[in-house]
Amino acid sequence: MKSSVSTWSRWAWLAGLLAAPIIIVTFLISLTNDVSMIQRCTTALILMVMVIGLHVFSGNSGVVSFGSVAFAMIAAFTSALITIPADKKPSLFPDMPDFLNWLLSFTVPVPLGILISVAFTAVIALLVGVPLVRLSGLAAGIGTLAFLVVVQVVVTKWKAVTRGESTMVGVPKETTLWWALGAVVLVIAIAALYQVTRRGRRLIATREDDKAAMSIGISIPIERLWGWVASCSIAAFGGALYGHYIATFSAQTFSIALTFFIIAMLVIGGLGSLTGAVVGVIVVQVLAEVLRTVETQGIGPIPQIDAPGLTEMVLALILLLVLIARPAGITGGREITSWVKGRTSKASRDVDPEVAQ
Amino acid sequence: MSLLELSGVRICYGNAVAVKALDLHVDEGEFVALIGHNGVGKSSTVKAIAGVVKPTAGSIKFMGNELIGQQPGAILRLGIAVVPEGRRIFTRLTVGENLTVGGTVQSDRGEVKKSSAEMMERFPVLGKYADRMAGLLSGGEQQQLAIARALMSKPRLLLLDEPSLGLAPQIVEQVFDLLEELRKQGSSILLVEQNAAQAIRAADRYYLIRTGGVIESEAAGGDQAKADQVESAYLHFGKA
Amino acid sequence: MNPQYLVDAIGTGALYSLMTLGLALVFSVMGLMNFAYGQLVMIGGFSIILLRSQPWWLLILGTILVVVFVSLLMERLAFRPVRNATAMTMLVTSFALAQFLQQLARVAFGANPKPLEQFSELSVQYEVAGLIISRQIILTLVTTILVLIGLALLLRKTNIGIQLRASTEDVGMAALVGIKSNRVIAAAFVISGTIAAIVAILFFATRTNVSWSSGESIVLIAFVGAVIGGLGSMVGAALGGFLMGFVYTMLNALLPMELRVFADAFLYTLVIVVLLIRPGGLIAAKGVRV
Repeated sequence: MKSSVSTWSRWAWLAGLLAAPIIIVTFLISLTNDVSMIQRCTTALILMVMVIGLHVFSGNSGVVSFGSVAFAMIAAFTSALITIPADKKPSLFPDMPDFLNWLLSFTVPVPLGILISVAFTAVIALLVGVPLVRLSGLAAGIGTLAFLVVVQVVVTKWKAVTRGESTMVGVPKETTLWWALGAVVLVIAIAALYQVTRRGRRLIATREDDKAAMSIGISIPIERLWGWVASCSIAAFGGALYGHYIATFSAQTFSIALTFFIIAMLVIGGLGSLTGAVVGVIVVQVLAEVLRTVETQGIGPIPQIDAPGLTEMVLALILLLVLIARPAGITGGREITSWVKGRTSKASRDVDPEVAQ
Repeated sequence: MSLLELSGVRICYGNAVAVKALDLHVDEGEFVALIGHNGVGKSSTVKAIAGVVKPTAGSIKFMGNELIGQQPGAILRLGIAVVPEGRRIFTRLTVGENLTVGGTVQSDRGEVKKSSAEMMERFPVLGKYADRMAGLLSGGEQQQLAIARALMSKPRLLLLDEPSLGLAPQIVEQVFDLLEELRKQGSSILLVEQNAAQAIRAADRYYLIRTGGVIESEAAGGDQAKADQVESAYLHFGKA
Repeated sequence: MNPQYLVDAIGTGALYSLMTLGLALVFSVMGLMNFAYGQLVMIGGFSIILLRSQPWWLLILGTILVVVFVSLLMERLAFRPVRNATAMTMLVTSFALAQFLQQLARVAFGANPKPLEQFSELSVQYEVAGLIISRQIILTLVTTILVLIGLALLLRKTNIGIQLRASTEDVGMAALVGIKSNRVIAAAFVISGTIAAIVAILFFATRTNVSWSSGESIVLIAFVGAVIGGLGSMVGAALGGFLMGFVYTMLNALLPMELRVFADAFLYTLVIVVLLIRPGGLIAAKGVRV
């Protein structure tokens, strides 16, 4: 039996090894005082929060979900609604339905707003998750995609509350580089904690061999529900932060294209590994930078190619190539701790004995 | 040279060894039976010959050709047709279509039509239900269809995996009568069976297999007394 | 209720039943839900623009050829390498392919929709029993019926059709009788590609532009129609697609003004409900794992 000292040490190593370089790089970027660079770094960090959110569920359970962006959207709108200054609200939401009238005067500081919206979204995630976690494979993919569409439609059409297709404005723009960094560090800590402790390892066991897992008493729906709620909450956190960062957004901001972007980063980095989530975001963001420079200025021998969609196209192509040639991604599903410590931590065919009932 | 020759065949599923090192052979025109309890490795052997499962060691030679590493389609074209465990007829195709599909490897479609008609004559029940969905046939009828389907490719060797499974005793008799007929017509047959007594009676030669694909004994078949003797020993001592 | 709604609903339903059929065909033969199917329709649309001034038979033939070519290319380059991968890898691969093709079209054809000259011959309307029926709807219905019949004949009477049906039921046994999976899958992609081209022709017949994002919404609806109707079952798929299109149009027409905008939401929630009650769809297919 492994002692709890070792669990804490594993957690510390994993979280530390991932967070440290991010903190250092962010710090260096903040020193450059290059506004545009800081902006892009902030965006990357927020995206990292969302990708880690997806990893917590899909990476650990092996079940693809297209729905995490839906929760990001819900949280972003919720936080907006409760943080926009009270004097602006009546003009922004002239048709607020009666049962929500209290929202017009209810305003809280942004940090509290984010907290409340994440909690609210977590409850929704729980409700939605109960039926959804029973689905596997294709059904889960379609179910979560359908859910995303439902949320998109509701948000787009419920004009009275969400301003419909018009963008949400007046949202306090308070997310800073440091908030984003803090969020990433927090989320890495949570995700790492989840997957080194018994709870997360039970979910991972269902991914590796669902029948073996069931035979030792693991309930697949329950473990998935834990992962689902954690995952959607993290995605919600990212969404709320994003909302307070770009300050103007609509349902279109949280689209299938964003879903694709997040999935791409996760798969390229390596599905099933937290390191993969982090690495994937970094690699893809750097790549996107390069491509954007090509689109605007050209790099060295490559001339400027002014073509909207070029970045997305190349990214999609790279994702395709990864899936075809190296589906395990850059990290191959392994964690950074296994490289550093020189042993493989990839789950073996045997079920982890520590997670048995 | 034997028609089919297995030497040192070793089959593993992950860390589990299903067949340790199997040697057996089937000569031209022979009816050979492989008998043993559930789980001794008989099915794995059939799958290895058919190309569905790849042995980790050893060789399987058919008319001099190495089968290991080849695809099931290629092995069929070399001349081995499989009647798999559970029959696996295409329930959503008609009886006639099942036969047609059995003749996929024959390039001459006219020849396939002829063979199909022949099969329906030979197996009257198939002719009767030619346009019926195969899923509606009874167990015994499906078994006949499965065998007829395999014969459509005009194989040199017929490989049968547990044809008596799930069938009533009278039907099993009919199936073995059918195999007897095929044997008389000169077909080479490798039969894998749990139903030891019937198999021994029908075969020219049989191998008795224990867990791990280990050959316990090899003897001439056809002997009724021997069959009964083996059967009672087999049943009484259970899995070796 | 205005019976005119029925006419439109039937027309839309027919179109979606074709789309869903194309999706279901490929799924039943290799377990792949092709997200990029919508892009085939988009490519069909651009082919139509290219061939707009040609005689109608050349337009149709040319579009079919282009779309089938791309369909086969898809199979060969993107899907064959992941044929034996997990369902998730295949799903994400088709997702990535869809994105790639969409953005490629954006880069190649520009972000603005390209105009398409209307086919005025199809706007001619007839009045039958008080209902207004345009030529376009008649064409859609007739074509759909012809395609369904054609596909049924193909599946039942031709050799490749029988092999296809055998493969969808038991791919292992199909290999054991010598059916070449490459051939069968290629056939499926050719047939579904042809259907996509036909859908493109019918879809863009009344539209005035083609954009790089065309096809995305159709494939989504077809996707859920296939799930509702039953993956792996052709009849189920056609019915599911028809139902989706029909119900969608009727909801849009019948719901009170305030709720009308939630038609999409109703439909997709319905999908989730169906998935939960019967993961195999309304007409559960035998032996197909969802």
